[in-house]
Amino acid sequence: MRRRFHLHLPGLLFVTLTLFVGFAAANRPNNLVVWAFGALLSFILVSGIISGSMMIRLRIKRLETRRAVVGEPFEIRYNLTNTSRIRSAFAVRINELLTSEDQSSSFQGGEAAPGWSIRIAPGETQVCDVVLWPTKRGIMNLDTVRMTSFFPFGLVGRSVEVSLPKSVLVLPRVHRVRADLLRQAVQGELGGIRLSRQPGAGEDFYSVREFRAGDSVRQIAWKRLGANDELLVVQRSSSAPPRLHVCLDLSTPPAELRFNEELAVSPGELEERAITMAASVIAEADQLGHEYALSIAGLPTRNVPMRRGYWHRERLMATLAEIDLDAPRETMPAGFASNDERSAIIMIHPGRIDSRRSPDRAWHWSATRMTDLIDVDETPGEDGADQADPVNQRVVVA
Amino acid sequence: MKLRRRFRFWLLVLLELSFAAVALATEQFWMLLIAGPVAALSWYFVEGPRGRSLPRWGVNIGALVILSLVLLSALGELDSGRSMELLSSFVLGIIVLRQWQERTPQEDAQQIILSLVLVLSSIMQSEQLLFGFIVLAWTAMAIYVVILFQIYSGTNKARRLRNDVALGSRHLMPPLTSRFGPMDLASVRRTTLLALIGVAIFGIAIFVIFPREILFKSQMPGRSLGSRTGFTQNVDLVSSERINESRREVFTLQWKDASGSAMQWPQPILLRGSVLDNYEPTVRKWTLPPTRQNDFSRVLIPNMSGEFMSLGIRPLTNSSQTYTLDVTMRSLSSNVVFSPWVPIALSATEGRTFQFNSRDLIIRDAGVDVLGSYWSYRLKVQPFPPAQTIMNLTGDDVPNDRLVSFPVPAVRQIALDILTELEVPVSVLPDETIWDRNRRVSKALEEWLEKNCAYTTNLGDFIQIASEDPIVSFLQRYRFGHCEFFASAMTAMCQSLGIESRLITGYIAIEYNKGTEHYVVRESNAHAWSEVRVGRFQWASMDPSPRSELEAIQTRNSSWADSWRWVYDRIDFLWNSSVVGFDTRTQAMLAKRATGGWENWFRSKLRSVTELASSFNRYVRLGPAGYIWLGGILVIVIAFILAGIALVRRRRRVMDVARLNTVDPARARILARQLGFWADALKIMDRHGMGKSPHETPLAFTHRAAAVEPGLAAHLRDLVDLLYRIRFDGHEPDRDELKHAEGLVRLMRTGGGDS
Repeated sequence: MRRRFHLHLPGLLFVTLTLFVGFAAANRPNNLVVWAFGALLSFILVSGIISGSMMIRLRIKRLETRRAVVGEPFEIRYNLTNTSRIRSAFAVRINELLTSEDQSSSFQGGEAAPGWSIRIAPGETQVCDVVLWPTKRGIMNLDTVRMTSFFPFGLVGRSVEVSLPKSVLVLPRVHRVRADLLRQAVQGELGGIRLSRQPGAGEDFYSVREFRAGDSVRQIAWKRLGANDELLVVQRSSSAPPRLHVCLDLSTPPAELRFNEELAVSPGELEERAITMAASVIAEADQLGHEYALSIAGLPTRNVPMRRGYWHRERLMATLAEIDLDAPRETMPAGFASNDERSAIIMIHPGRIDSRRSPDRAWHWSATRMTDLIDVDETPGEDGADQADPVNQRVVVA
Repeated sequence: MKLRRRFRFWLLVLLELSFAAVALATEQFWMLLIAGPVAALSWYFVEGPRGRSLPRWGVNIGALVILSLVLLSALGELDSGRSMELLSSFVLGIIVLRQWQERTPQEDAQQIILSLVLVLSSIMQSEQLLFGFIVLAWTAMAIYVVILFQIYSGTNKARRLRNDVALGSRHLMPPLTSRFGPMDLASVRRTTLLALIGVAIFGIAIFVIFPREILFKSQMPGRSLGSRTGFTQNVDLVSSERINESRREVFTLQWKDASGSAMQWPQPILLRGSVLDNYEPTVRKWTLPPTRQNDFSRVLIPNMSGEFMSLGIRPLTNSSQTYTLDVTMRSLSSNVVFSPWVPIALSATEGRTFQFNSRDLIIRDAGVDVLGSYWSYRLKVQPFPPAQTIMNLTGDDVPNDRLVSFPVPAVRQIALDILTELEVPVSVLPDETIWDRNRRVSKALEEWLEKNCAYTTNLGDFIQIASEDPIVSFLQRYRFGHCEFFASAMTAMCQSLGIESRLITGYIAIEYNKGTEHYVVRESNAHAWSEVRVGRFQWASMDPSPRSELEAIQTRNSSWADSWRWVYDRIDFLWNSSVVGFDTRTQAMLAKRATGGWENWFRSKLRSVTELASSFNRYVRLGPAGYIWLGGILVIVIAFILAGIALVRRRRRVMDVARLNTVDPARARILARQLGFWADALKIMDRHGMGKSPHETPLAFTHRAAAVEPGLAAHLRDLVDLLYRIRFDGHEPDRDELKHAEGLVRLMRTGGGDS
């Protein structure tokens, strides 16, 4: 814990004014000027004392963080407790100290969207939040939280820095994939071939259940009624959703990536774009109700099987977030994505498309044409619109 | 009221206070009369429902116009002394103008700073008490406003930053949830009070220890104070500006007989302050010859224990004709010890050094060890002193007789004409001494003046003639004037006839308060009279001013406000003597006291308290038993105060634990009386290590307590039941129910058992 006093510009101006008045008091036989000097000086002293004694009683604890996504506000909550039994704490500002280069490059707005509490009553615990703006996926380390107050006069501030180490997994950025592209990719795939695990409006038998008011007469299981005198209705299963296999090809080392050099992007940036595209496709597929899986070629990550739902999506996103692009690359294994698989396959390449080791029916998307494939969000981020190539207009489909 | 609106409102009040301060300091009240309403109107137009404001370019043009006007004013009358006044005018204009524009928090801060500049520039120009009050009020208000500003601007900034970050993004930012409610406001007010106390303590400490080179001469701190007492050490017959009928209390005195009982003297008491026997006809002034101005032969340092110190050469001898005079200053700051004829001993508990003029029997404060100028003293006097007493005071070198004359020859002829008219011979008669002649002739002149001249303080018709001395004009031409003319004429006529005489200035104590047994001396009681030598050691006071007129002035101007006027006068005096007149000497004395002398200080304070109790006892006339009553009353008062504090604390606790802050105040008062048992029960549980969490309901707390303290929890359950019924069901408990609850609490306190 580190405690410090601060004197910012208004405080400095006030001190200067006080010195002027002190000079006048020393040179002018007027006791009211001396009195004014005393009052001004005591303003500074009282400001320091009140803010100091107020801050010494404050305790802070960082609460569990919610999901952090690149390009989306990341809210961090704190429990702020005033342990004083008598005095309230006022006008407390909370900041995450992003001192290291890694931290400052990972977040934008650490100082720009601070937490703020008007008053914390004696013995009260309040929840305050700081909003950061992640700019880079991966594991980010938060360390120090600073509480500052310039209360009561805004002249002398007091800050307390508390070390609260915490690691946060920042998920990759998600853009909207152009709807027609994903529809084209899964079109013709074997949607409904399997029995679904959920009831729905399909044709296959799913189960029977008790009759409820409003059920159609046509759904009644007449045979059961005749046999057991039970009024039951037949439930049909829903159609199995289309399946999508997202394959991220990171098998080519960045130094060997081939792409149009007029794009003026680095290989690393292209790989990040590829990850963003994979995340965007997964998010879109999840939204459309598809089942999806993720395979990453070139890095020792575990392939995630075909599922759907929120937790599955979060697992895939976490897998993408944890990708270490500095790790040594492996060659793409044989049968990485086979033709036998009953799903649509989208292979995402950071650079030029290499379709030699992939199934014939796979769709190949290149990160160099990201803006053609997805609607890029304007919010600043590592792969925002400012980095996109406006020249490429053609959808690349292998 | 929202935080922003509340801040803006109090900012406006702060600005109005600074306008009042600058108007009072520069004595240009049009500033307040114009700027005040104009700024106040901005509240309706800018902050009102329509929210109309001046455009920024309009404000800029207005500022330029104000600057031009101020510059023109400065060029019209080039005077460096007006710099602060011009600065005040400019800043005031800018403040008023900016009140009419839409402001950001940063511009609000600038308004506060401009207000500070305005007050600081005013401080350079005034030292009045009323101005001091306004500056103090401004300081308190500034603390409150700045605190509100910190909260307002901080919240505003946090909200703005949060919005700015999300600008252009499709993602929603979590909103800032901080709100400013009534509880926060109450807390802000408490903090303001705390800050104000802190500022006051540090401010006073810095004020006291600040090294300064200020040394007020003539013991008259506060430039205006000396001229406002009415008393003067020189009598100027040309100027009469100091003559007024002010009801301002100067000091009080108590006249006690030899047994120590307060009494009213049959005659008004003449309190001598200055003795003048030299008339300068060229400047028409009565003065003390320069050779005698520092004729203070004896230095007296009275014991701080309050014992009387003899003014004479030999120790003090008491007699039945010795009276004690207790003088307490109310608003006078002077180095003169006012005393009736003739002082024989002096007592002062404030460690002062006095000088005694044995020739004129005048005492002065040497002022070398003065802490402030407000003080009190006690004198022993003998109105009819035997020759031995005077010899003791003056020594044996008193001249037997002295040839005197008056420098205006016309006066002698007038005096002779008057005496001829009265058929009073000037020469010494065969059967009388020269002292008897002096008494006879002076008495005749005193009576003539009293009968034939009119007393007035309005000298509008008394036109001074260059070729004629004002004393001659008074005696021949006008025959009206104030006491200085009467005393001057009397003294001049006596001196012209060869009778040793002198003019005395001081105060006349007429107004006697029978309730407090004190004389109250006001500024209008400043007086001048004559003393005529009627023996080798004896001088007789002759007051030719018509006594009835003096008393008429006293009663004419009296009002109900006189009873309380002394409060303001005293504060004014304290302000001037302790703040405005705080100088190097006082500072040194304070340092001396801080390093030692606490014992004496404590003793003197104890004595003051004893004397206060004694005077109170005398006032209620209960005799020795009065002290017992006084002690009893004191004990009862203290007990009541302690009981009051205990009740208030208990009520606050009940309000807190039963969450009555949100209830209607009238209902909350009733509930606070009824739910005392719940606060007691929680206190007992707390002692058993079972504190109730704020978020916990009483029933949930009971369930938790049952697992740990089943014995206590059984009683607690009954109490919770009653609590719910009273607090939430509107049940009005009768006396038996409350007694039952108290019984349960008692059982809990003793550790359990069945109720």
